[in-house]
Amino acid sequence: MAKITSNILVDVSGGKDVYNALAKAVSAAGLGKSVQVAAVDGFGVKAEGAVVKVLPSGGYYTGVAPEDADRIVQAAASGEGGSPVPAYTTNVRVALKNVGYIDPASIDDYIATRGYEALGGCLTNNTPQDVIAAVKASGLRGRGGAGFPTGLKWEFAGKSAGDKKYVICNADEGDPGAFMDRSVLEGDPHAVLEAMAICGYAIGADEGVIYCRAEYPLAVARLENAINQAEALGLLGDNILGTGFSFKISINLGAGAFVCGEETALINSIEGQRGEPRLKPPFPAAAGLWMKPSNVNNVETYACVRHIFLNGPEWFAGIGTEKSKGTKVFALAGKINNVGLIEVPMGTTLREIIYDIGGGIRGGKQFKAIQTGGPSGGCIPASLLDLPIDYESLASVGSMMGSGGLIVMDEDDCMVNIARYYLDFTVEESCGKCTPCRIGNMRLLEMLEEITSGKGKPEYINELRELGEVIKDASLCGLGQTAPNPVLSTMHYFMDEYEAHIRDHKCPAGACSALLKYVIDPEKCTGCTLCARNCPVDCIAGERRKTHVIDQERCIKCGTCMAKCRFGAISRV
Amino acid sequence: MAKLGSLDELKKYAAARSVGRADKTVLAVGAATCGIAAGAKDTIKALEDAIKANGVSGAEVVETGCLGFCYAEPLVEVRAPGAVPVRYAGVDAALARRIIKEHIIGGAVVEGAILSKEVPR
Repeated sequence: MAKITSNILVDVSGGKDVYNALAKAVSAAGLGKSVQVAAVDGFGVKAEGAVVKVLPSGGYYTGVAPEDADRIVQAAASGEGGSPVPAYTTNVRVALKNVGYIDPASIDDYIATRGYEALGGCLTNNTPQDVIAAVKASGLRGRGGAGFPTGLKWEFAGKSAGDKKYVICNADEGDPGAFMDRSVLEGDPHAVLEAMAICGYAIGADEGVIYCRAEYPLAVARLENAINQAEALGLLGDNILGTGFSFKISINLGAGAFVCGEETALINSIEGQRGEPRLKPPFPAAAGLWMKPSNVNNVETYACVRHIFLNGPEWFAGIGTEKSKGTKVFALAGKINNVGLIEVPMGTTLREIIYDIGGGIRGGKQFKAIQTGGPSGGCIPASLLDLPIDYESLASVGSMMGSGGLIVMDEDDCMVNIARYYLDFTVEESCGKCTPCRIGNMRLLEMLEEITSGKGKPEYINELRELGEVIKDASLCGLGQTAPNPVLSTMHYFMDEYEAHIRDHKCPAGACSALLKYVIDPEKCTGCTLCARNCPVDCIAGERRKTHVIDQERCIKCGTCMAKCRFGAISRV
Repeated sequence: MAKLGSLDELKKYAAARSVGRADKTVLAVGAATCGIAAGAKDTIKALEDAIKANGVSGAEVVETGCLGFCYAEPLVEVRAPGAVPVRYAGVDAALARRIIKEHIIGGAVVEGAILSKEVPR
């Protein structure tokens, strides 16, 4: 049977001239049975003019004119053609290197990508001190959000005296809209296991615990499978690779408390105690799980470790900015065209992430803010879009790196309502141990609820700010210390929206339903009855060919009537 | 399975293995929780059924992790030996059958379903 042997992919987003010329050239040369011309929608490469990609080689032609068609078709038919072109996005893969590439259920796939070679190398050729020195030299910082230098953390745990130590993996990913760690665990579980074993060797631990939220059943299943495979090959368990080093890993399921992502609350939870944070010091490196020296890192941090040893600490330190090395994985969500999981070098700007990688704002709407760091972070406005992403710069604008959730908001999002949403989350998730967090956040939420329903008082502005600062100062753990950030940052950048709600009882974005109503313009209404027929609560009255009226008492402000009206007679005021 | 007794044994074991196979086209389906929620399991079944129904011997379906394009799930990456991968977006059962018939058997890419944006590996 005849089989197509070459495919010419043409970017037709800029017009079909080249596509048509190529199709014509193929049929003129009588190559229709072996060469295919296919239209695609852009390659995302740095190139001018019309771009064509040839398969199977994957080479590109750029700046193609219709008269180039014959030449390209002949080259493609002979199995060659084109040259490499750099991709437009500069994203590099470290933590996600294997995710979406290997079969996560196959240890052979992992080993084929130099899996466990870093562990084997450390055990065979390096002292624990060498290993710690390499991690320090790489500049790797905690990817869970706070950004503490990983090598330093390992060094503290290594220097703590003790006959028994633990390596803990924090896989209790809980920020709304975040799924970086889940993707790593589900796509490349061995990378985490290998790094935990390396850490165990470095600090002198023989046992590791992965604290994974129970809402990630597939991640847990793939981890269990991976642990069994690694033990069967002697890559975990006793006497790993004949070196005398032993390391076992078990999985502990979290029951869905956000605060258990805080390392001391997590340790309490593993011990079977209430998931409440402990006073620090002592830090886990001195007295952690079962009061033994413990090292806690997040999934993504561990996922970076093996590449530091495979490529050298200098290589890792060569990526990113002066103080934030390497890459960061982000879960890009919200009002953006290309929702997805991305990994970019530290120092990439928000603008590059939103427009180059994310494809811009959905529906061509106006960008308003980007939320980073989840409930601990803040909202960053359009004026700061050229901010390079690293730990320090995000903190300097009142937000934080966080674990990597990026939620894009457009003109239809009310910033007061967004702050209310996050406060609602932290109030729900506060463990209740510290009064400022337990009561203070509740008070913040109550004020925000009043503001978004038009009952806010002018003095709330100062009260929100003062109370927010007190909660930050007086809470024990990261949850309370950062919970007011969404309020404080939106007040800093979007005070006009707070004022509009309080002073004018208006929601400029039209998101707070208590502050808006739908009205019918008698001039434009034709009495077609379409709105009345579609109203889910039957609150629109009016005879055929006569002006209709919305009963404001019964209206639930769903906006269906406005969307259905063909005459633009209904508006939101 | 015998345990690997040294770093050298691990390296030998690794050298004898590769992701994918030199003699087969691999259809890698993004099957993380997100992909499965978008219908990846149906896609896998449709691909496997079509491979069987058409008597294709040179192709196999494997699961892989998240490919990163949430907006385009379920995703299938066709990795033919010696060729650059071709990525398909929104692969439902009907598209899965077309991929086997047109791409795997016929060699022609399925127009209109390709996610053409380059991603680093």
